[in-house]
Parts: sequence; structure tokens; C-alpha cells
Amino acid sequence: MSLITRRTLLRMTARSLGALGASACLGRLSRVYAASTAEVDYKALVCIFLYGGNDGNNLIVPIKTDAQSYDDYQKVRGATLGLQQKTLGLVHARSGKEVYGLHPQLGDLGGIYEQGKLAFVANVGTLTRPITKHEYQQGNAVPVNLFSHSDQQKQWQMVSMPGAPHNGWAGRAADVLAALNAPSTFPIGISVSGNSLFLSGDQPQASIINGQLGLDGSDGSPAENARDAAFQQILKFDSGMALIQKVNRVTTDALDAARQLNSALSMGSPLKTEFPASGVGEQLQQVARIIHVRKNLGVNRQIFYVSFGDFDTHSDAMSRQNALLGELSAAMSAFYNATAEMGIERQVVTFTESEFGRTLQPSSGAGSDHAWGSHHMVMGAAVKGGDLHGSFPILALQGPEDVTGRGVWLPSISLEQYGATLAAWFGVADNSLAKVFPNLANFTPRKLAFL
Amino acid sequence: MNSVALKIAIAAMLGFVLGASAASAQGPAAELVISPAQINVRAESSRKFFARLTSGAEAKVEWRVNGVRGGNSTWGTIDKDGMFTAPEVPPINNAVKVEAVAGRVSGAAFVTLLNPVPSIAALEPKTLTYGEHEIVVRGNGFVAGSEIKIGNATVPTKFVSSKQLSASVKAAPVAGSTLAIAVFNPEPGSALSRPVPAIVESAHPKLSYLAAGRFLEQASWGPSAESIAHLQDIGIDAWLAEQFAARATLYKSSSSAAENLIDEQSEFFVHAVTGRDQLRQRVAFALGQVFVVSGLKTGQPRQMVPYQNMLLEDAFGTYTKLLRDVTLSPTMGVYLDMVNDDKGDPTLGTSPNENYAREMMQLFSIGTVGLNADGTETGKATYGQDTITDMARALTGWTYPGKAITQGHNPENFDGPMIAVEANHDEGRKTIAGGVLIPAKQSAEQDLEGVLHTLSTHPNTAPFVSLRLIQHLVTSDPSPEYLRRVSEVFTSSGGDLKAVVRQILLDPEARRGDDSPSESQAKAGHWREPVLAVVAMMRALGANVRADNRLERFPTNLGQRVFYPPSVFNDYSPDYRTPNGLLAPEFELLSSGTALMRANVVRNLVEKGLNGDAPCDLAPFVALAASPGDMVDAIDQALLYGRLPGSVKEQIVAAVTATHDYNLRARNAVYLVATSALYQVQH
Repeated sequence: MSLITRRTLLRMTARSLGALGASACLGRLSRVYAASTAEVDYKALVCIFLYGGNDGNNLIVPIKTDAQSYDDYQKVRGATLGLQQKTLGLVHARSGKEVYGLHPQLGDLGGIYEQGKLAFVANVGTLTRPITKHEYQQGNAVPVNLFSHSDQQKQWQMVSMPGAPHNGWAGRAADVLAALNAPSTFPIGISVSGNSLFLSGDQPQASIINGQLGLDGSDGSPAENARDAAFQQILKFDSGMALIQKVNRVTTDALDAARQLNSALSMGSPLKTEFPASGVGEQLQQVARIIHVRKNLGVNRQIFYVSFGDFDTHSDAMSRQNALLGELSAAMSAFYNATAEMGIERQVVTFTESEFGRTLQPSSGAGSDHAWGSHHMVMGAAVKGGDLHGSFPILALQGPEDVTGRGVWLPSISLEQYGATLAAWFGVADNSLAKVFPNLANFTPRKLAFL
Repeated sequence: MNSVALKIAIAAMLGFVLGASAASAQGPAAELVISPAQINVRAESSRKFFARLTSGAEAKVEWRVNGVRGGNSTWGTIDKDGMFTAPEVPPINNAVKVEAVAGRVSGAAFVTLLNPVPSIAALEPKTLTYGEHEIVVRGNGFVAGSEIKIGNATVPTKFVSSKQLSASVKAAPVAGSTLAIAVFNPEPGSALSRPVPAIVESAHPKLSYLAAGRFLEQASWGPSAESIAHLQDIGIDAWLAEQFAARATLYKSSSSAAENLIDEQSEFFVHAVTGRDQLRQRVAFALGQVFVVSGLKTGQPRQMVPYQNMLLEDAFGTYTKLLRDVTLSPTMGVYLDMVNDDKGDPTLGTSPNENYAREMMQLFSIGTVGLNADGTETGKATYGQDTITDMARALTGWTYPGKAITQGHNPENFDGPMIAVEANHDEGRKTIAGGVLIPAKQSAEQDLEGVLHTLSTHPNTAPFVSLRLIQHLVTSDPSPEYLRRVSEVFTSSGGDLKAVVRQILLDPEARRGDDSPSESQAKAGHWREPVLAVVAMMRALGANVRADNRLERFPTNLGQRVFYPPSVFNDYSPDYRTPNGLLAPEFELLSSGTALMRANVVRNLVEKGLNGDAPCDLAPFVALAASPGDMVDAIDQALLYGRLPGSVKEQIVAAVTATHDYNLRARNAVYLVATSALYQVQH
């Protein structure tokens, strides 16, 4: 992916403006939005999906806790998968009583953790209701196709709702909160990573590619104006064919979102925070830019979807995860700094997701196989940071959380509890959480303590 | 009369003549003003001249052309009121003088005679079959030097009369199936007539143009004018026979270990646009989206080239052979970790890697849920974790090709299938998919045979594989009956991919819509995936692909990067449904971003030839642009085979009439048709 500079983005948007003729009506609209938007009420959720199944066992390692120590970890992971203790970034948790080591590439995020703005959430996984190891072995209420990438990616993004099987949980949260953005018609859900299941809902999502959302610019000549007008007219033709109508709808919504976004961006001044040039860095920079012009869009709530990978480290795991976590840490900390630059670090929460963790036990090829519960990060000044939330699994084969004997953790926190905590902070009322998370009532507590 | 009277008469005549000369020699020409003073007049058209004295009074004058009173048929005639009519043909010396004479004063105007503007009233014949023909052009304003133009080319023209020309024309397949016939008159006053369209078509078509276009959308990288003509000429059966026999266009072999597939990506597009083995390439591309390897992990030419060539060569073989070649491909061995995957070692605490075993079942053969032949689900899972573990054990013991060894591993080598090292193979008994028991003490090869046989004959495999091929070639959501018919061919033919592909293409459901657009079902077709959308346009518009192209950038921006799917799950999933429940795998790539980006790619194609990598000659359309309706009809033929709805055509015609630049008209019209969902959804 090429580096999109601020100048590039603004140049593209300025050209697009001409064709879309947005400038005339914009002044009126921004006055309307200003009247209804209160700065203090803005909130954003940013999901970073680590696709492939990140090995959470190497994200955060117990060094000295009540129940275990580094040696327990090292004994199982061995030379091919075990991080050396001296390379880990040491942090405290549980009111300072426990010591954990963070992956060597998480230096920047470790700093944010120490400031109390980042938390780890241990052993999160997909579950429809709490089950025991015994029930797992009986096959009771075990998530379907637990170790399949596609099934679990879908679950983490959608939390399948009977009756609305194709909507993502963020899409459902956006539908519940749509009124908070009125009268703006700009989509709540914005993916900078292509179409996402996560944001699918009754409302359309916006998606941005390589920093651009919109048709290439027009020179404003009569010929081009006529062409662009015809392009929009043709979108309305009813062919009676479902696939054609769908493409037309998406394109029409896209033109509308593009118009709004590009004129909003053209009015913003650039952010000063520098972002790294990696794929995830560019995506988070894109997110920051859009948040920066939230007032021009007239929105109070936004949910962003970012994704990268490939974390599916069946082999050569150490060096591959090293590279990926290095990119993640640099990008996330730049993003935090950008929210601070905008003065809204209390109003933006960034969190990770991944379809599953990986076996504690290595497999041949210096990697590990698909597993289940894994550890995740939540970042933002509103987060109860500087701590580890949830119950850390005992790192032992055949241990109390290990359901297969290879170090596959029965989750102590369900994805629905994790998501409900985020959604509640975001503004979904308690009695609406069931519309977003179908099985939440099976779990206690429904909301966790990290927000 | 006596001689004196005669002398006086002669003297009087002489005096008159001399007197007139004397008068013109002496009289000021400026006293009589002729208007217009200077003018071009086209053949056979008329122009009135006016003569006034400088005093302003009208003059009663005698009009002459080149000195001849009233003019003549060579230089043009002029009546007593000054109405000048140009001759039928301008003379060689086409500058003539129109004079008005009144007594001793006169005035002149200068007229340049021009050829007429030609116009065509009729063509015979109006449609041309491929090959040589005499055409007769009837109209007006033709001259001896008139030339008939076919598109941009001029043909030797026979002048029959001012109303008829003829020429010998070679009609060949052309994008849009329409030749613009025009007449060009030379100097003086050269002018081109408005074009008149002549449809070019097959003489004895075995199937209609629409049917051929639809078929080729399914069975090739997209129709071109030539490929439609050829298919109409020989018919579907003969075409399939040709395609099944056509040799694969293979990638150049490479031993490079650089992490860079740029050359191969360039080759991909050259092969797709120009290769003759169109159906094979299309099927191999579909298979490559089922049996996925990605350059993100196996991105060296020495890895990717043999794998892609294997798919091309196996595309028309049996499913079992394909599955075997995929399983033993060293490239796949790296991608899904089966190479050098040894039996478990309790002392080291390692177990066999489960990656290939899992994906072989989930993605390459049976899937996770039981299927009936028509694709409906049985409600039972096909395998559990135990099966995966045992399958993984059955597939242990394979290493890179090379020397036969009894222990350890061979060094990296991607040429040829992996070989077995029995010491590394788990010889215990296993229960694999379908509850099939593999006994203990079998060799790696024997275990592999057991796995391949089991998966090839598992009842799921026929519908599983058939569905994916149907989705890639014809439609995202086939009816259960269609899928069953194809599954049954899979089963009865023993997994013969030729037979399966033939059934897919010839099935009545695929062919529905060949006779008329209104037959197409509401859910039919599929959104062209990015690579297909870009390549199909290039073929339809006759693009010239550069050998060193970097065309992969365009579908990459649309979500599909050639050779680099993000994971073994491909760029999009066969069971992706939209939020409304529409089964449409490619829509996983449809977002607000990609929907608009697609239009930008089309625009780049028509304006810049995809950054110069695939310039398209829109000349056949430019040649018709003076009549926008005819031009849009031709573009309709090229891209939609005549299915453009009338109201949409009107909107496009109105839009392009906003400019008089014919190149711009052609570009904008192609843009509007190619960006429309009518084109982007193959149906």
C-alpha cells in the first residue's frame, strides 16, 4: 500500500468537490449540524481486527503471579515459541501484586499502559453461554466450527443474531444509536479496510480504499458535468435484477457519503501527529483524519473498522508475529497521540479482536495451531488502564482451562461481554444491549470493569 | 443594303465594342459595388448577388460569369436578378468572376467553387457479413474524387454518378459490430458526410450474437468481436472441442527466489487478454480460488509458477488428479505447512501440523456441513477435531522432491511433487473423513491414496466443487436443480472436470437469457470480480496489452490482488451473503469504496488506457460519434450485446451530445455503459 500523504488526500478531495458541486449547500448544512452537536457527547469506537488468529500467549506473559510464573510458560513453549524473559517489557497488574511481561515489540503500548490508558483483557473467546471443560468434552454448547478461520472471524464480527444473520454487532449497535447522529445522513460505520461484516447492518457503512472515497475529479466542463449527471441517473434504472439493484444502491449511497466526507475533509486542517507508514498505520491515520472533521460531518457517534494480518502463524511464528506486533504497537500509539492532539482521548476507545488464539503447545514448523480464548487490548483515556482484566488461564497442558491438551483455553470472558462493555460505554442503553448481543443474558456480569 | 449603310452598321458595331471597352477601360469599377465581394459556393447551390452604385441607387445590370453573360454550365449560371448557381462539378480552375455591368460601369465579385457536401441516403447492403463485398452508396453530392470511408480507413471508390458510388469492402469483426460508412469529398472544400452505420455480422450464425456474447462471458475472459464471430461461425460444441484441445498458456519457468511476482502478474494479464486457451484459463483461475496459495507466504516465482502451471494443466483433468497434485505441491506444502511435516514426537512435545488437513477438508473437498447433491444441507457436520488430527497424521512424512532419502528432509525444491520419507510418516491407524479407517503400517503413499479416494468420492465433494465452479463461471446462486444436474455429472463421470464444465455451461439455467433479456431470472448472474471486470473490458474494447504491464494495480484497488489473496479463504467467500440474504460471493468486495473505485478504473481505461498499459482504440465508436444514437447502439453491441434499455440509451445520448468533440463523446459513452451495473453484473 502506498503512503498517502496529507497533501495527496486533500488534493484528491479538492478535485472531487468540483464534480459533486457540494460547496453551495455545505454552508447551510454545517450551521444546522453545529446547532445540534455538542462536543462533549462525541464518542468513537475503533476495532482493529487481527485476522488469522493472533497468538495472545505471546502478547502478555505471566512473570510472577499468584498462580504461576515465567517458567510455566517457558516449559511448554520451549525454544521455538517461547519469548526470552529478558526481552519482555515488565508491567504490573492487579493493584501491583502481579508482574507480567509484554511482547518485546509492544514498547510504545507498554508506555500507554503505564499511563493508565490501556488495559489487557484476558482470555476472551466466543461462547453462547458459560460452559465447563466437561461440557466441552461432551460437545455441549461449543461454538460451531470453533477452529475454522471463516466461521470464527464471522462470529467475532457478527455475533450471529437469529433473525438477522448477516448483520455485524457493530452494525446493530449503529442501528440502535442512529438517532444520535440525526440529522446527518453520514454512515455511523466506517471501514478503512474494505467491506466489513462487523459494520453490516440496516444502515449502510462507508468504506475507504487507499485514502480515497469518491469518483475521480471532474474538470467542471459541460461534457464532464453531463457525464456525471447521466452516471447518477443510470443508477436509478430498475432492471428488476437483484444483483444489479444492489450494486446501484451501494453506489448511490457511496456517492452520497463521498460527497459529505470529501467536503468535510477539505475543510479540516491537518493533524500534526505522525503515523508510521505501515498498512495498519495508514488505516489508523485515515481514521484519525475522519474523526478530526467529525463536526463537519455533523456526527456524534462513529464506529471504525481497521484490519490487518496475517496472524495465522502455523509456522515461523516468532519472526512473523514480531513484525506484525511492531507495526501494531507503533500505529496504535500514534493513534492515541492523535486523539490527545484533538483533545478527545477520553472519547475514543480502540480495541483489538481476532478470530481465536493459538495453542500454547508448538506444532512442527515453529508455529502453533488454532485455539480459542485469547488476550486483547483496549486503549483510551476512558479505559481503566494499567491493569489486566479477567481471569488469566493457567499455562499448563491439561490445565484447568485447557480443553484439548494442547493449551486451548476455555474463555473466561465471552465475546458478548467484551462487546457489551464497549457498546454500553458507546451509548447503547442496558435494555437495548440484547438487541446487539443475543446471548448476553447468559453471562454475569453483563458488562466488565475495563470501561 | 448599300455599302455605305453596311459600313455605318459595321462602324456602329465596332464603335459599340470599342466603346464598351473604352468605357470599361476608362470607367471606375468602384462605382458599382457587388456584394458579397468574395464567397465560397458549393456545387449546385445558389447565392444571390447584389449590385449597387456607390451613390446607393440600385443599378440595372447585366450579370456575367467569367465574362459570359448569364454564365454557363462550366462556371455556373447567373440569372438577371443576380442569383448565381454553381455548376454540378467545380472546374479545374475553380475561381470564377461574377460581374455586374451597367453601361460603362461594372463591378466584380470573386467566387470560389467548392465540391458539394456529400450525404448518404442508403447503403446496399445495409448489413455486411464478414468477408469481401461490393457496397453501393446512394446519396447526393458525390464527385469523381469522392472516397468511401469505412471507419477511419479509405477504400478505392468507383464514381458512378453524383448520386451513387460503389466500393469493395472487407468486413471483419470490429468492436460494436458496426462499421461507420461515410463519404469524403476532396478539395476544393473537402467535407465528410455524416456516417451511416452498417452492421457487420456472421453469415450463417450457429447461434445469435446475444447468445454468443453471454456464453463467452461465462466460458472465457470475456467476448471480443473476433471471439464472438468465431463462436457464431462454428457453434458451441465445436468451440468447446477446440478449447478442450487447446494447449495451456503456461507461465515462463523460473528458479528465482526473490519475493516478487511482478513478471508473473504481467504474464497473467497478457495471457488472459490474448491467450487462445480461454476456457482453460478461466477454469484454472476459478480453481485457484478454491485451492488457494498466496504470494503473501509463497511469493517467489520458483514457488508460484509451478503451482499456477499445475492448475492450468489439470483444469481439464480429473478432480482426483488435481487434488493429488495440489496436496503434493511443494508450494502448497509451504503454504499450508505440509512439507516436512513429520509424525508427532512425544519427547519434543510436537504434533503433526493440522493446517493442511483442516483446509483440505474445509475448503478443497467436503466443507464443514453435510450436503445433498443439490447443495441443500443435511444438518450434520462432516468432521470434527478428531478427524482433523487423524487426517494430519495420515499426511505426515512428505518432503521436497530430490534424492530418495530414508530420514531427514530434502532441501527446498519446488519442481515436481513432494516425495515420501517413511521414517517421518505416522504409521498408526487413523479414522479419516467419512468414518473411513486407515489401517496401521501403511506407507505415506498408501495413506495419501486413501485420503484422496475418500475425499474424491465423499458425497459432499460433487456439490461442493460444482457450486464453486458454477459461482465463478455463471451465477452466484444457482437453483438446487441446476446444482444437482452438475453434481450428478461430477459423480457419474468420476470427477471429470471437462464433463462438469460442459454441463455447467450448457445447462438450460446457464443458457437462459440467450434468446431474450427478459428471460433472465431476477437473481441470475454474478457481479464481475475485479480481475474479470478489468480483463473483460480490455477484451471487449480490443485493448493492446503491454508485455511489461503493471495491470494488477487496478484489480488490487478493487479488492483482488492477483496471486496474493489475503488468506486461504480467497479474496471472498463462496458463502458470503449480503445483509439482505442474497448469496453473492463477489459482493464481499462490494463496498462504497470499491463501487466508486470501479468507475474510476473504467475512466482510466477510456482516458489513459490503464496508465498506458492497455490502450484501447475507440476509433470504431468515434467514427459513429456524429450520430450519437448509432454510436451508443454500437457500444451496446460491444458490451451488452444489444440489451441496453431504451431509456438508459437516451440518457447517454443526451449526455454525450453536450460536446462536439467526437473523441470525448466516444469515451464518455463507453464510460457510462461500462460503469453501469448492467455491465458490471454479468447476467
